[in-house]
Amino acid sequence: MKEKRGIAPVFQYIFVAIAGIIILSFFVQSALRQSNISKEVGNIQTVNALEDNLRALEVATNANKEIQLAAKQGITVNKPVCGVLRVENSPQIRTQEAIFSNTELKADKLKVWTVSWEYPYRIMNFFFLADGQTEYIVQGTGRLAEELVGIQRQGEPCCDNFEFIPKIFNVKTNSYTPQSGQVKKYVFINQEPTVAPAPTAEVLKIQTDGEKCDEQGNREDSECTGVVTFYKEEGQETTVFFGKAMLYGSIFAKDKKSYDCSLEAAFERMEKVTKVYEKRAEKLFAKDMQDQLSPNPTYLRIKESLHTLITTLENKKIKVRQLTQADLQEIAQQKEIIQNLNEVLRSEGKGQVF
Amino acid sequence: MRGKAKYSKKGQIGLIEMIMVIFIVTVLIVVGIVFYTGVLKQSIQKKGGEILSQKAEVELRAIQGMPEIECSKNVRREDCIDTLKLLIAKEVIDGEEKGYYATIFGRKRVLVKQVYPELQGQVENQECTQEKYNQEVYPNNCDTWIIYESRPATITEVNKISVPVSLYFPNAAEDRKNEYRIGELIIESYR
Repeated sequence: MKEKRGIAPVFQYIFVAIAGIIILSFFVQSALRQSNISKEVGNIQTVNALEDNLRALEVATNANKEIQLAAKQGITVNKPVCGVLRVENSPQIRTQEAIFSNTELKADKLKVWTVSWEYPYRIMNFFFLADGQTEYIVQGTGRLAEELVGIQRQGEPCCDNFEFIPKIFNVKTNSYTPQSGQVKKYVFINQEPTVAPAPTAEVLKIQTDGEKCDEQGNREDSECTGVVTFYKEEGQETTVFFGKAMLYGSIFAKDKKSYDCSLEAAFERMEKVTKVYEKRAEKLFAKDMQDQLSPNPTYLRIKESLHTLITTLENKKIKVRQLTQADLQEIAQQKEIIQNLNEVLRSEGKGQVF
Repeated sequence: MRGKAKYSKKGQIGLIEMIMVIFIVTVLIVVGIVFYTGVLKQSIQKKGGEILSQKAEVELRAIQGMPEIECSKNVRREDCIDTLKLLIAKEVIDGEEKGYYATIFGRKRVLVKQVYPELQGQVENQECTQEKYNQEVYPNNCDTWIIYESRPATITEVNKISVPVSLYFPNAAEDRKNEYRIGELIIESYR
């Protein structure tokens, strides 16, 4: 009898305990989920901020900015595959932008610089990203090395006359004595490297074709071409650059693999833009034919040259990882032809293709 | 037996009381969660709408500066939209290279409309095509250029935003060479 009398209260306690555990676990689960959601929202906000800032900067010819992120977050660029951006564990997003940077960035403030890439017509903007963890040490005896760092020359105002790497990046010059701790990227311009690659020291050599990359005589940026060598502990890898914007890209890219990713994106867009100009030349010729008895044959010649360039780009895009100086010369020559033909149109008083 | 039945009833009543309390508490919690979720959903939708319109504004500026449609003279950029490139954009951006540009534009409709001089009558809202371009009366036979269009299967929200632009008509009929008109670049973002 006694035992039976005690059943109800004991049962009540068990029941309350179970109900309590269920309710408590529900709230704990909700809180955890909420925390994960807010983390995810933070990541998405960062991706959005990054995307919007890059898209907004795309119209600028040369601009730099520090993007404030919600918190110190890890951003991966072109990793594990080309053309993807990812913040922490958020889903990766596809991008068609040419982003030259370390493959892994960690910052609450991201440094961004954008420069328009023209070859010879405007194709797209290149983005250079850094998290402030790397020091760039530019070494070289020529004028280009000084220009890149933005060194003032005697009698010249700094730096209205030439483009230089913005001050927001840790860019130092020859005379700088590196401090220990930070990752350094040594950039040797037209000279052999004097530093060996190490885990905290990345080494790069830029060999320009003649003196076409400095800004003396107001040269076109697209005239600046050359070869880049990425030095690694296990060996060295060589590739090429077309235009000054791509030269900057080699400085900011983590390695050849990451540089090639952006090169691939650049070639892809160049092919699309060239297609637009090829069709433009065709339409201008057709209109010219409609308007007069003898249409200007330069339109047809430039159309054919643009078509040849598209075919070349399609082929080069496939072998972007093995580009040689011969490929560089081939594209540079085609660019020269197109540029000259466009100039002929201008001198003849005709509407130019680009 | 009477006593046993009495204690048992008391216990049962206590148990029923407890179940009732838990039931009411659970109902209150569920109502609270439903209300909270509803408010959260509304605020997320509002935030989503804000992000969409913010993105559209950024996009508006970016599209204006795309080399595929922007004017250029002797390699230099000009602050206008080349209508000849707009015709080509239909073939390239919205045609053979749509897959590539879908990553850039997403679910949107991007178009340019001439607003001044205003074309009235049959030519109003007429899309400019290659056929219309070949006609002698071009550019007075159409006023709309569709650059890109990709609609989702179901549309829950449309965000429309526009900006005035200068339209450049290159190498049209001799008397209209280098003509400029006023238009607007319109983006319709879908959700």
